[in-house]
Amino acid sequence: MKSPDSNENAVAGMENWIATLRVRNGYGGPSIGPDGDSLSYCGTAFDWRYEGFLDGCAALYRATGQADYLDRIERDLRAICSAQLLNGTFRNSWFDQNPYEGGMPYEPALLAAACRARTVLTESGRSAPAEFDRALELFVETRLLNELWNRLLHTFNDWLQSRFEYYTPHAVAAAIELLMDYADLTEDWPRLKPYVIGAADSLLTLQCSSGSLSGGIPLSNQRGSAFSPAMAARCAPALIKAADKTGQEKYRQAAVALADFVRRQAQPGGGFAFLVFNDRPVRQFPIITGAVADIVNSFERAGLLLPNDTEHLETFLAGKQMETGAFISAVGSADPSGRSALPDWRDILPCCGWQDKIYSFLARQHNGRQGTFQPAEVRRPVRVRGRCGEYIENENFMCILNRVGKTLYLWEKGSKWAGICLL
Amino acid sequence: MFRFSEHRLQACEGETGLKSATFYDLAHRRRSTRLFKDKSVSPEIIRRIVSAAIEAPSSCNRQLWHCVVVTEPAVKMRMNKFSSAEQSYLYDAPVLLAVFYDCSLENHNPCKTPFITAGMAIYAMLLAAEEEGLGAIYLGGIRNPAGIAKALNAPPWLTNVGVICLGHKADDPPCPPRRPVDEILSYEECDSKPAHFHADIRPHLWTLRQLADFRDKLIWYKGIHIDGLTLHADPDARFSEKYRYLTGRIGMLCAQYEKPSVLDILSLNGALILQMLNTCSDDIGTLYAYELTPGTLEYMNAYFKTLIRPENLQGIVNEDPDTLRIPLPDSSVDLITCYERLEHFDDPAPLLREIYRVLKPGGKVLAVVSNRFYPHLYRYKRMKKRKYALGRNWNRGPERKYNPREIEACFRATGFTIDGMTGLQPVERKILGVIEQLCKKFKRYNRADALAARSERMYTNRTVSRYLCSSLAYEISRQ
Ligand SMILES: Cc1cc2nc3c(=O)[nH]c(=O)nc-3n(C[C@H](O)[C@H](O)[C@H](O)COP(=O)(O)O)c2cc1C
Repeated sequence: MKSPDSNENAVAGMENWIATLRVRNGYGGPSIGPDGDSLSYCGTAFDWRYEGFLDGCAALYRATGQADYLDRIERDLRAICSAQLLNGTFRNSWFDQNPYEGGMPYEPALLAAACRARTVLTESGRSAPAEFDRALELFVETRLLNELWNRLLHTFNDWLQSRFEYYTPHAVAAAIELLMDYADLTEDWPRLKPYVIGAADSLLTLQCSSGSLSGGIPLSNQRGSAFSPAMAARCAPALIKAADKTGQEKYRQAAVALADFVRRQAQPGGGFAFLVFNDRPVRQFPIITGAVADIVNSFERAGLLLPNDTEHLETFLAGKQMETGAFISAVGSADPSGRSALPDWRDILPCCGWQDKIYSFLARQHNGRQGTFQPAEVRRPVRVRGRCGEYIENENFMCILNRVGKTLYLWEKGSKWAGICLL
Repeated sequence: MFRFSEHRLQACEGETGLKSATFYDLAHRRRSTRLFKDKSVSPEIIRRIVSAAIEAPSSCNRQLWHCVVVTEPAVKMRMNKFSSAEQSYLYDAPVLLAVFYDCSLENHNPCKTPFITAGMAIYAMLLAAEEEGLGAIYLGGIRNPAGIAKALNAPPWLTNVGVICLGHKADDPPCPPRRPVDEILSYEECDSKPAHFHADIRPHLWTLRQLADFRDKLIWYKGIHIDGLTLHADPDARFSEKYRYLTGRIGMLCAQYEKPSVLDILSLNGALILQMLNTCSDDIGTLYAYELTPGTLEYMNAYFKTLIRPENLQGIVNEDPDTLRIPLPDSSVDLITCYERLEHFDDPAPLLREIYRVLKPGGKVLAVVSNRFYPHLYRYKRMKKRKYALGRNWNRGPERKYNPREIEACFRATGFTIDGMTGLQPVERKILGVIEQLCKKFKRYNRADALAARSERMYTNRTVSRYLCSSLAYEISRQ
């Protein structure tokens, strides 16, 4: 495994890989996420992948001063607007369940990232695309406030349909961040404040106040026993911002306790536990590389980052960059005990939506010097359908072969759909 | 489109030379409201509405019904929890009126007088709400009305018959089409018109007209709202793995052609069509949606309008109500999708022949059929008797399950070549799921997680397990 010795080379490697994932008007490729896999659809998607891509570009612009990062931001903002449907939702915004619209937390996370990028543009003297403000307004007013706001629970639902009493804290957190950015842009804070307070309170209601999980926020209000450190960490920036904006210290204290909870879930071999429970032992694996980076990014956005957090991630990432420039996706996907010598194919296959998180982390550490990276083909033995197979990726395709060399999965880069998908 | 229909007003003006049509106006104006403003309704108005219902006739003037007004969020949530009602209006409407009938005296009356009494009161309240300028809807699609009684601490002699949701309208509700009066009305005796529907799910008992009528009304069955909001708690099709497999596969197949013309057969409320337009509209030439009635297509168009501009969507309707005929020329489409719709016909051959006729040589069909051999308890019960498995739901209409060999023989007899078959929702998932639960019960969490990872696969190409899947996705082609 190739591991570039410097950060700027690692960034160059990632940029190389990201460029191969460009499809028409965006970033494509298969996705593997917490709720499933989107392997057939590989076209443009508009989900939380833009968090890392836009934040990364902004960081690299700050580090290098190169204007083409701003061009990329502008291009991406325009692409995001073009994906909006008439009801405010976005095409293909469901990450691991694409190609569907209305993905949560992906849509508010996408727009919150876009708002941050918009600020970078305006601060650097450029104007944001006019259509972006309209798209933002349509989403917030029509979708978020009108359709997803739960009048009984005073928080945001994930969907229009079914399970009206169900909400997921990390989706609510994304909505809070977005609403506050929107309030700044529209100078309409008094109207939006009750939504922010209701939603932030709904996070606090779920926070564990004592015991070994103290500070933790569960995956959803109805799965109170399962805590995902990665998803919980995503609530920290929203809570801190809510504290700053409302002046209510309880949100800051909650965020600090939350960060503390997440740090306690660090694993001896690096990374954080996949799930912790209040009624059963910790589930350590899979440790998703992008999710570990996302935790550190969340701490950074919340202003809660400690030097240890960065070191922890750097150590965890060491040796995980592959020949294409992407990082391996996870550790222990198919084997919860983590004992399997052979990685699962999901451990290797990199996807936008996780890699972007690593990209933005690396971009923040960038010292402004141009890095170099010589890409090569990746070939890895992997476990596929319980047996030995092979993962191959180069600038033209990603593919998975079984034991006898039969292609189980093939995506020719640039195309919208997988050519073969037997997984 | 679904606005107030003229012929209905004329029908009631009629011979009496009615001048002041206030009641008729009101009856025509009233619509079920499904979107409510976040604004309360004063207790005086609620009182007036209920007092109108007290004027409704009741058996022996006993007035054996009761109404509970609910405005408290916590009580609403309890009602929903106990009754599994899960309709969003139950949450969004500021006021709920839970209606009960008193079954202490008239429970065995052959005319079901307690129900009728409550029903009269319900309609009176709906009209009164309209007169007050409010919106209301009666919900009878509640899975467990006894749960409402439990949530509201009803005494044993009160039985719940649903809930009225009341509030200020947030939109102008659409007017679902009504049957012509002559279809409902006859003189001196019932006329010999055929039944609209059958309680029976066996398709050979249904005529094509009945199936068309069933589908035409079905789109309104639980308030799938014209503005694109599906407010009812019906599971979102997108969470169904079968549906996800299908949308992925359709995309992959579309990519094999240059701007293909695609035909979808009888897609209910257009979910699949919408998805195709959403993801593949640039890649598709024309997307034809074949339906049995124009109403279904009109509904679909109105529904899509809020989401996308379906420029390349073209609705086509069966012309002769007694014969299936896809109104497209021979050899005119590249790709056809048919998602569990062959099931509506006892003999799928006529539809398959039509599909074959309109398909271009070299064209493909993605046909999903439900498998008779999937070990579902209900299905087995029924299977012993006949080839028809129990319909999953009253809202599915007539439905048969297919023996894979039978349907494959049908495909071949029509002239199709079977290119492949994928089993969706394999039985091993069900088995692994049960073992996983057992492992959790006995605190073998690692084992449970490992099983969960293995049972993740939603479809299979393995020879044996394919035939034990819930549905079979066939890819067939015309040479
Ligand atoms: C007995 C009965 C049960 C009903 N149940 C429901 C229901 O559960 N959910 C719903 O959305 N609408 C329900 N409705 C409303 C009907 O869908 C509605 O009356 C019908 O589509 C005609 O529309 P309109 O009332 O706007 O004219 C019910 C109506 C009746 C009479």
